Amino acid sequence: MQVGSLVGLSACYVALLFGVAWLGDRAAAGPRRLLDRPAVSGTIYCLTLAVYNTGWSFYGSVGNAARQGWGYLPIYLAPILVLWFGRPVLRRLHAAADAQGATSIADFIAGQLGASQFVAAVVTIGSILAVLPYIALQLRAVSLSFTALSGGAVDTSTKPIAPPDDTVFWIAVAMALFTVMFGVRHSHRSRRHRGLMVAVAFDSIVKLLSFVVVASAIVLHTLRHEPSLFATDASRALLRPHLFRPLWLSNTLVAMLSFLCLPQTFHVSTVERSNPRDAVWGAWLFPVYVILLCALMLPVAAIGVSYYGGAAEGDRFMITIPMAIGRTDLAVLAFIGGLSAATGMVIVATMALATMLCNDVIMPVLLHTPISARWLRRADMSLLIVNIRRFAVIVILALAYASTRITSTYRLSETGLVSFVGVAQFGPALLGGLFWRRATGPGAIAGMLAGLAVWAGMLLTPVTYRPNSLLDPISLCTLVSLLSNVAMFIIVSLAGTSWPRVVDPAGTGQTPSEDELSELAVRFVGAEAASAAFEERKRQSWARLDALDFTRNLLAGAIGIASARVVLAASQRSTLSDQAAWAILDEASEALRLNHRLLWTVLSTIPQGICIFDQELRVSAWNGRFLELLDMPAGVVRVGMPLRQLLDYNHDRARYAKSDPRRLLAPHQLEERQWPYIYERERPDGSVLEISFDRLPEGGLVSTYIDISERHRSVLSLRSTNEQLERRVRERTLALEQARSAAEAANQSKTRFLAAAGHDLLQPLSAAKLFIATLEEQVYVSRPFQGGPPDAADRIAAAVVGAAAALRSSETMIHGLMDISAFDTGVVRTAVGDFELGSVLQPLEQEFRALLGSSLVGLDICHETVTVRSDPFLLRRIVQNYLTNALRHSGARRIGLRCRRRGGRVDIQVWDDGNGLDRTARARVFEEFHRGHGASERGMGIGLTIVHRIGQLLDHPVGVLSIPGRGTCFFVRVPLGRPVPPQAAESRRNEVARFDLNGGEPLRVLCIDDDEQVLAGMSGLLRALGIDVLHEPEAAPPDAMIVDYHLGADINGIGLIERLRVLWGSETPALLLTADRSDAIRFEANSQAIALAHKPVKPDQVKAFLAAARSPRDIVPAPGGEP
Amino acid sequence: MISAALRCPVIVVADDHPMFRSAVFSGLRQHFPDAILSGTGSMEELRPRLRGDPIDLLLLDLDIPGARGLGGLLEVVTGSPLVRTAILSATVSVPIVSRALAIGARAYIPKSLELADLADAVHTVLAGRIWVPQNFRVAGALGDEVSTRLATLSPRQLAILGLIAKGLLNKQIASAMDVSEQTVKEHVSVILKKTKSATRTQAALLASSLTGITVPTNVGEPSNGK
Repeated sequence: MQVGSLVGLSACYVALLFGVAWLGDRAAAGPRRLLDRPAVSGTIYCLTLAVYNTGWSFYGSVGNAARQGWGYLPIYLAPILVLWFGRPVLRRLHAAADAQGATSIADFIAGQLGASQFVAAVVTIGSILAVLPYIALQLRAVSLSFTALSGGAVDTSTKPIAPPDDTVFWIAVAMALFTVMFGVRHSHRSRRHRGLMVAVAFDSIVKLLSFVVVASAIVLHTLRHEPSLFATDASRALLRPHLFRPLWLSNTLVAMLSFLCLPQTFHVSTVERSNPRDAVWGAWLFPVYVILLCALMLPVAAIGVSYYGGAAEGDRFMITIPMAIGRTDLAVLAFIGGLSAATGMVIVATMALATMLCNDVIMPVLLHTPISARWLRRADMSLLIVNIRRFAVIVILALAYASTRITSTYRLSETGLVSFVGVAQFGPALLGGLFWRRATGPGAIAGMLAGLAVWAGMLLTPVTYRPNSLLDPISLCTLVSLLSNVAMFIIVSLAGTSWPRVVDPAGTGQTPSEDELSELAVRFVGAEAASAAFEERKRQSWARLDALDFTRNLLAGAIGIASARVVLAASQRSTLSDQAAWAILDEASEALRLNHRLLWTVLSTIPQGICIFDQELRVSAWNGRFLELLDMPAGVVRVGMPLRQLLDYNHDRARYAKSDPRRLLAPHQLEERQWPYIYERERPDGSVLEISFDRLPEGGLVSTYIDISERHRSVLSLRSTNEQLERRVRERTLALEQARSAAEAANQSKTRFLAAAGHDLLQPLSAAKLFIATLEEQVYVSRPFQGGPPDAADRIAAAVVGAAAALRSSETMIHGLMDISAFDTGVVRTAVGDFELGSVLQPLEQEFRALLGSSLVGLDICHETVTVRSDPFLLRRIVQNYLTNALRHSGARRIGLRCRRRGGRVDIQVWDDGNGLDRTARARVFEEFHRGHGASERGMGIGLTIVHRIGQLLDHPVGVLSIPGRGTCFFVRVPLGRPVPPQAAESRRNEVARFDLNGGEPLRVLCIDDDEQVLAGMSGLLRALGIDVLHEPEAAPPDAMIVDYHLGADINGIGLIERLRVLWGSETPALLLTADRSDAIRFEANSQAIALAHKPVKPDQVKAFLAAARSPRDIVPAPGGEP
Repeated sequence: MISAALRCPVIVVADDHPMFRSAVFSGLRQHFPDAILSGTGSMEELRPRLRGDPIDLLLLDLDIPGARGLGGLLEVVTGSPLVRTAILSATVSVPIVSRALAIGARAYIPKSLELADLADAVHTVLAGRIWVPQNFRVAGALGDEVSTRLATLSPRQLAILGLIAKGLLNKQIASAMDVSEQTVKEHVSVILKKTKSATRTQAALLASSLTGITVPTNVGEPSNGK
């Protein structure tokens, strides 16, 4: 195995530990439900107890078993015995430690024995002396396994390697780093090291698993391949149960006392214990752990002894046996397990020792020395404490590293036992302090010193180990040291009362009042923490603790129990005899207090109300503004008051809507809520608060209250202003609307009046026109043109013609006016549809040709066969007005009509070669009563205005292009329509028809007959020919119609055909069916261009008619309603 | 009969404007010297005249007192189906021309027509054909769905439709027209079918649109009671 890879592996493992500790801290800082669950908490507690099982267990116990057989067991039985049978002791111990706020065993023993600083110091220094070899043992165990695994020198007592190359050194450095990072972070005891404890628990799991796996693999391998190993004499000797030996008793005793007194086990079992129930868990789980761990130790030892022929290498069997059977992986696993066992112990022990060293040795010394005390005034107390502890950690590990050199001649288990015996010296003092009321500090000191002296004298010199002697040195030493310890303890305790308990709560002397005590606490831990603690004390009515004890605990958390007692003692004396200590404390706390005062001042003066809640959502601090803003009577808000209670209180006073606290406090929402949680609340007095809750990094909530009434008011006023504005706009709009509709109504009524007036005006005008026309005709009829000079009759004729023209002109004007008023009042409805443009333009052309008649103006019409979408009637008006305008006003000699397709539209253009229009005229030509220059007197130009109106109505752009002197072109732009089914627009009576029903679309034929049977027969015939039969006329004309003559008493087929043709504007081919063969009907039908078929009708006749109707229909323009 | 009518036609001008009546007379006399011309000023005067000697041509003013919208025309057409009736009106709009022709007017003559055109219209109607002004002789200008459906109704059916519009029951219609109720029922079902009306009420609405038609949709507003 390479050294490098082993180092890497170790580094990885330590890094993993770092990670676990970090995660543990995270879990502890976050919602602590997981770690606070009884099962989790208890399991972790039990696993941390396993810190008792160190590298010694991992390697040394196997070696021990190899040498002594069953003799290795007492070490492991001891804690089980303590946990099972020492329950009352443990309970008492835990209760006392909790009550006292002990941070270490030194603290605790001193606290029990009158808070003597000397006791604490002795315990501390003794512990360091006793435990240092033990820490060194761990480092050595790692080093041992390391060298074994890396195939280095087997002899561990070779000369030391230079530190930088020494694995032990680097392991010590890593452990120091780890302890400093996770073990020494807060000065106050209440900050438990959750992350560290999780890491230690993890360590314990690793070491148990690796040991069980490696050991069982070894045993299985042996059983399978070399079962003879169990049968050797050596292993038989080991496996055979021994008789009772005194060593066992002494070892068990030592181990029991050590389990109680070892700094690391005391720390995990008492200081870090967060829950009383954890002890119960520990009592049941820990034995299981121990049994699992040590069950296979003896078999492995037996195998090793048989294999190697002796117990010399017993401490390394866990590594060497796997390597010997070729299982390097198991060896590596064992290495990891050993490493984990070592680290756990080292870290916790170092941390505990460092705390003790700091609290019970260094701090008292500093506090008692005037020079350092002066220096302390300017120092940050809690930071200083932490730094001292860090320093202590480093010192202790350095010492331990150094002592690896000294103790390297011991075997692992021996070293462990030596430490145990040393630590056991505190047992009498511990138990005595707990149970013996007459125990005194000096007694304890005497006992401990005596015991430690014996221990040092007998064991700290190299000894040879004699396993089979009745009393080996260790047992002997145990016996002697403990006996002398107890003896001295008892004697001195009974003999003297030289050091009475410094502070006896029940004792004489004036007890400081609670106010004084709290003032004292304020000096030291700050106003807030002190008042919070005292409030909490009141609330919880902590059972046995009176104010004095309480204050002492409070202070002890910060400066250790002994120092705390000094402070309290000083305060108790009427004359402050220990002026120096008092001053020091005062000065030391001054800086802290200043900070607090500053903070408090800031909190009190800021305009926000602030209230802080701890992790359990209980009030922990607030400022005056908070009470003011929430209008809280004094005394309602207390430290430790649950948030829910506060909210309930406010709710009862109707300060909250019921849902708010519910929403805020719903537990799942505390986690998932978007932070900060901000809401606004209107208070009964009308002011508005903005309340914001946010989480604190260490758990708990901070709530701030801001009076935003002003902002709220301005928002409200802005809103009301806005509403007012809107209302005003609405009112104004309404007024305008009314004014507009009034104006419109006035305009409409004016227009209607105009229309009515025009209408009435037309009656006499029309009459006058008819009279004049009559007269005109009479003049011409009676007096044809004769030539010669005009006589009186000629003059009359001229006057009549003039009068007729004047009348027509005024009539045209009135019609135009009425049309415009009709467009303005919106009574003109449009009927837009698709139609063939020719059907509008062709009749117009005919009309105009007739109109031009004799005139000299030429007319060019150019058609295009195209379907447009428009209102045929109104479109005709447009084109007609264009043509009329060109004819009347342009002075043209030629007028043209053209259709031009442009994309989806058709431009219908009417052009002339007349005078043309200049720019201004073009712009105004569509305005009312505008007339071009040089126009004749007829008309008032109202035609173009109507064109404009119709163009707007139909959404057809109209316009004019013109070059002055060259001519003008008016146009209207009409959208194309969907082609309509070609209409059978003409009848061609004399045409020879082709009968072809299969070409093109089916014919649509309207079939009308009163007789249902005849109708059904005819319809059947037609449908058989593939024809669409209609029984009722539709808006669009059909291709043909077949009508019975006798439709009823008062209407005949000819009348109906005639009427429909007029309505459709189409000469739809019609076949009249009749039984009447009279000439009258034949003549009438003939005159109306109606085909005739006498009943009974032959299908051939119908076919012939339909063929004619179907024949080409693009030739003849409709003759226009009249034959 | 036709030749007789052409030779000396009996023409009645129903217009409340005496001056206009005499102007028409003078114009017609010019073209139809043998015509027997007479005039009435209201529907009340016209009704006895319709029951008297046969009339070849009735020139009916739409706004004649006693008539609402096309009500006058409807009354004449249904009451005297043999009288050829031409509308003579200052009101000219597509829907009214279309409806008038649909329910049986033989011509629709705007009052502003030239004398020659008036003469042409009278000639055409007397010859038994239908006449409309030039600008209505456009395919699609007049033929809307309602009109074409109305066109298939016989005068008797139109009369019944008119009575339906007045809210009369079949029995009342039967007694008013002096026919059996069964006949009325048959006619009503034919009317509903031809007008594509689902109910009597729909048909009645259609009919009342004829009498109310002049007010909102024509060009210009008729003044009643001239």
